[in-house]
Amino acid sequence: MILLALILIPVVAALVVAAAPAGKAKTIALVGTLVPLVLAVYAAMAFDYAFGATFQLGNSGDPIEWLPQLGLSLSLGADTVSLLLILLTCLLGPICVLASTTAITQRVKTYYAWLLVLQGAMTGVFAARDLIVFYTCFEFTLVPMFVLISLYGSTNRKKAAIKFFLFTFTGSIVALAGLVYVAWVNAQESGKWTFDIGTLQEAAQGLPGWVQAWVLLALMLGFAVKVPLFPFHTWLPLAHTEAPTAGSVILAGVLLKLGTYGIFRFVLPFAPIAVIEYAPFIAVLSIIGILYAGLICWVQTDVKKLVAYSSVSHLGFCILGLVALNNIGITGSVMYMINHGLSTGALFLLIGMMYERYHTRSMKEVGGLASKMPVWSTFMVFFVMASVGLPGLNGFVSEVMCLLGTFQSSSAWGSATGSDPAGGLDSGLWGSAGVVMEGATPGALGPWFAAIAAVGMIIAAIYLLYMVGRVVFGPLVEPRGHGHADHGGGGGEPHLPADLTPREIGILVPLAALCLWLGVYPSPVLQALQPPISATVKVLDEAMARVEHGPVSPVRSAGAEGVR
Amino acid sequence: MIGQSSAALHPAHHEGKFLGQDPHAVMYYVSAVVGLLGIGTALYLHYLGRTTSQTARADSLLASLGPVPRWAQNKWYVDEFYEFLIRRPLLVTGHLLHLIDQFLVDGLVNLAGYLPRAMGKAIRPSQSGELHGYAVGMVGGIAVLLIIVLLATN
Amino acid sequence: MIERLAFLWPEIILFSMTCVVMVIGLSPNLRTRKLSAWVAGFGVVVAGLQAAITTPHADALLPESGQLLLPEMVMYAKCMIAGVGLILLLLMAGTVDRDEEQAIAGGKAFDPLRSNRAEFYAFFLFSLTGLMLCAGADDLIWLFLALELTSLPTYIMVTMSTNQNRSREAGVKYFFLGALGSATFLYGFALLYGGTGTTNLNAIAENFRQSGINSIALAGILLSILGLGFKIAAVPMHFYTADVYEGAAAQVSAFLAFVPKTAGFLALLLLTATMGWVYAPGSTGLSGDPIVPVQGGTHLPEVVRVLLWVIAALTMTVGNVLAILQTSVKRILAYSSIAHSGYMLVGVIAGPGDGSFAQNGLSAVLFYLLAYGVMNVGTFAVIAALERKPGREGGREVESVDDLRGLWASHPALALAMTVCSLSLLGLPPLLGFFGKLPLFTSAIAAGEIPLVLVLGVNSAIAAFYYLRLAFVPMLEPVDVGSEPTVISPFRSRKLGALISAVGVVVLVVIGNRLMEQSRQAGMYRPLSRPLHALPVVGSRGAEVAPAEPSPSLAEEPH
Repeated sequence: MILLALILIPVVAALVVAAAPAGKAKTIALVGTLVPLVLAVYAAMAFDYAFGATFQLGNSGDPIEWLPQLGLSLSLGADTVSLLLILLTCLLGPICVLASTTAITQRVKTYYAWLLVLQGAMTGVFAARDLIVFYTCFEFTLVPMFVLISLYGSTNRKKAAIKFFLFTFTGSIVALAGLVYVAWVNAQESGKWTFDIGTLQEAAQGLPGWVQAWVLLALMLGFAVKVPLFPFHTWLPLAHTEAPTAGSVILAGVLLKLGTYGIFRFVLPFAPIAVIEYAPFIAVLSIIGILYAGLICWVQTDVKKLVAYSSVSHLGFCILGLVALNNIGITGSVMYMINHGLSTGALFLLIGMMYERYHTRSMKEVGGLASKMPVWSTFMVFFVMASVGLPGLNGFVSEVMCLLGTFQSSSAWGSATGSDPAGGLDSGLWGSAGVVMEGATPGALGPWFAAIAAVGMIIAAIYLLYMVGRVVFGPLVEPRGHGHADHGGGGGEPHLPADLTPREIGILVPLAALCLWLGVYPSPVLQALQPPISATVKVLDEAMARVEHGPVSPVRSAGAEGVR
Repeated sequence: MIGQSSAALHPAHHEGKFLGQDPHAVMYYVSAVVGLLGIGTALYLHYLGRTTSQTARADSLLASLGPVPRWAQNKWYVDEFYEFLIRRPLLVTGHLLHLIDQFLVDGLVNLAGYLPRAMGKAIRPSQSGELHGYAVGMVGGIAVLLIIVLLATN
Repeated sequence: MIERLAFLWPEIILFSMTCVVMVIGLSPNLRTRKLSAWVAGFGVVVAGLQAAITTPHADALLPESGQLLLPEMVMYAKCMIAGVGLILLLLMAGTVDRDEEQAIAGGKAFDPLRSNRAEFYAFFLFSLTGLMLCAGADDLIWLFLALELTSLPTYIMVTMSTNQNRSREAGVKYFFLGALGSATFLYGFALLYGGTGTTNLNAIAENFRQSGINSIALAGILLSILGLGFKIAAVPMHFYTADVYEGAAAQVSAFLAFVPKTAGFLALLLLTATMGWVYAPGSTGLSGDPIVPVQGGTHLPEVVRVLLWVIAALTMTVGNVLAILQTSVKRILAYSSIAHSGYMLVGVIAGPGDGSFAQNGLSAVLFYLLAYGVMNVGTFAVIAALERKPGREGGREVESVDDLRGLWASHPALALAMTVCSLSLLGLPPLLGFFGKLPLFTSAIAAGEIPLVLVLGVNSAIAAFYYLRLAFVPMLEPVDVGSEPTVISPFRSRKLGALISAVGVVVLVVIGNRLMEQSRQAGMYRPLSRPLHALPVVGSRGAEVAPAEPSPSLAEEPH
């Protein structure tokens, strides 16, 4: 079972690292992350994309009974969305290991062991088909991240780690209450307790609207903290800034996607009626996040904090695409998850490389590095452009799809284009590439949302170009004592050359290649994503059809539904 | 208008007429004439009759045109306009939002974190270490709880 | 009478071992004295095996053989008590007589009047005997005697656990407040007898079915619940917890965290089982009429339910909120102990549901008792396994969380054990604590107690404030330069106890299904599987109540 291997191999490698001498830790960790990467690529090739909506590669058809008294089973399975996210996780694994080889010099074994455990847990989240397996891995990622931040972070690391843990933990418990409620509803109807996600999905869709609203609230509270959605985002700048480089990469690249994946996998299918009703509200929060975090980015002096807030801003787009509730929006959102992981992960890697050389992240102290570090600067500009959303790179694809989805997500558009909602899309880039998108638009958002969100694109350009302008271009500013001549490193660090070493280039090149490929030729991925996303949109359509008598709200319908 | 498809935005355009002429043709001719007029004026004012490199016929017009040439030389103050209307407010907003984020939003989060600790500090004096205090607390607690429960179910 | 013996073999074995220990411990020969712990362990093991093998099943029960309300609970509880008791015994090595034995090794003559070892292990076994008797109690007087037999030895164990004043102070406080608590629930039992005319639990349950709960019996139940709150350290009887846990030695605190708590919850389960979860929501009976069960009712009587609700919410909150401020490890664990009692009370309110494990609050409580026992003993065991130089105020013991710094470097196994057990207490999946809390969640939601579930959730989150410190300070923090080093105790069995608990926290998840099945059966509230008799259908107030037809097996009066 490939998925189980993908989860267990890093964990076993972590145990080996713990037992082996410290000098071997790096090598074992590298092997422990490369093997899952190879396996993941193999899994991607073995995957049947035509049936991308079914859960393959695991045992979800015949799960291992783990605690049948509670209805828990060790059930794994991946559809295309999960598979892509697992690929992202497995790709970032060896990249993080290689990025840390010079940065981590003390307590090396602990570091690599926890990094490997983290990878296993993250893979488990995406591969889980049982609710409690999902929740277990979801929560368990907090422990390695806590250790990584509080041991290897910067000056304020303790506070950052504690805030991160407590904030996320609290949200998750609320989400657990919602999920257990759905499991109970299913137990009442079918007489059997189970936590299988597929079964619970069907049970949840039958809930009345006002009950779904409460489930929505509970689930969103949990996932909104993880994403993060305004106003639950304040843990993120602190955690990102104080984490070590690999920690920030994993945090931005994968851990934030746990939240968006949770919304895609749970909130949309479990509470479709409520989502349709409350989508504008969630969209407003996302848009506030986009603009608010974007403007805050602009006034930052710490580069890492700038990129951290930019994550908040970008993931606002991601959520916006999800609550657009149409095919193109959700596809854009899933693509955004991958693309953001690649580009922002790379940005954090680059900042880390700069930090290793200059020991500062402040734009006041470091600037104009193009003359000293041309290769680094090239990559920096490249990934900034990917992050901004320059056409030709991957950011553009996902951003435009999310905006298009938001724009089209209004009832006027849906009715005007009549029975062929894909009519407006057949022409143009994706139509000519043969991607057919189906699915009606429940019509929760609309052009105004898209227009205001699009301003966020401009703001992204403002702060990212401002940052790149100061850090890469402009006059050379170096902190005192870190000139090229007297750069010997202090405190036992290995002497790093001014520009990137081959190892560092080696970890950036795959990311750059993927950004380019996904920007220029995304259609295989988009095509592959269609089956699961069409299935999700179908669920939303059916829910829309049930809502003929108008919107439902908890207050209004409580009296109508009677005593629970 | 936004809700209409693109087909609706472009009605059969070959039917419209402008002053009895084809609008496209009118466009060509008008713009050509204006362009030629402009070239001619510039030629006359700045090229023809220029005696020295510093002076031209246009200089004599400077005084009578008032502040317009100055505006033109300053790029019509477009940059300053953007700075004043867009960039400066956005920057100020950015700083303001940063402050709001640090103190209001984060403050609320820290408050939520502080509440349990504050509750603890409020209850702490009850753990005084004195035996009689505990005994009173126990018996008093029993009484209070019974009263609460009996009141609540009445 | 002879049938009762079938239930009592474990207690009889323990009791006889107690007598043996008392004699052995007074021997002038050191090797014989050392045997007392081994004899105690032997007794516990045999008692546990005896309980597993020979306890009759529910089908074989006769009315006079035992309580019929939660019959399977007897075996489960006794085995659990034996298991956790064995781990606790590992911790008890070297608690008393340490200095005395050193003096004897140095040449002093053995004086039986000075030696406490015999008494200590005897009290240990007495207390476990009382606890096992609680599980099988079918009579109020039996229950009271068993509860007292459980608690009285613990008062003395606390007092003799160290030779400092803090233990004596703790013992005195514990004794006086314990007497107050016992008086309360004894008063409750007396009122219960007055209201129903019998002390036999089965007969009381029968009485409630037939004529409802009259106000005197209701008052008795309320007072009993409040009094039993002392044993489980629930608000408002929680005041003693922190001081007593801090004053006693860590291993005795571990004992206190498990044994009286289990006793209290077993008694609480039996008491609430006499009423049953068969009432309509909102049936108060305060107008003077007895509270009558209804067909299809799923709640406790409203008064009792509200009382338990308020106690549970307050207990959880007070426990967690007070723990955040603490720097002393044992006080943190004491307040966390209060909080966990609050969590378990949620299961008592939830009731047996439809009998499946996920909906059965009683099974959840029983499973949580086991899980909590293992993980809590683990944390105390780590404390007990460590030492500092004597002469400070606290004697040899580790006092504050900062004393645990740098443990990973010096004793990685103990640091890992502390981390694993603390995270399990927090309820972090995939450790045992989460799978103990999950049934509480599910059963409470199934019973419709959504606000209480939210309180439970928020409190679990608040608990993270201090559990994180407890879990990660030993592992991540470097040792304070200039402070005294923390060394391992010469009594290696304590470390073994800590490791067994930590391993148990992980392994019990893997084999958890068997345990859950056992606790499901243990929580099978009998009227669910075999009704005592048909329940009356509620008509208008006080109107036609169908006369009860007692089932044949209860034809004889128990007395």
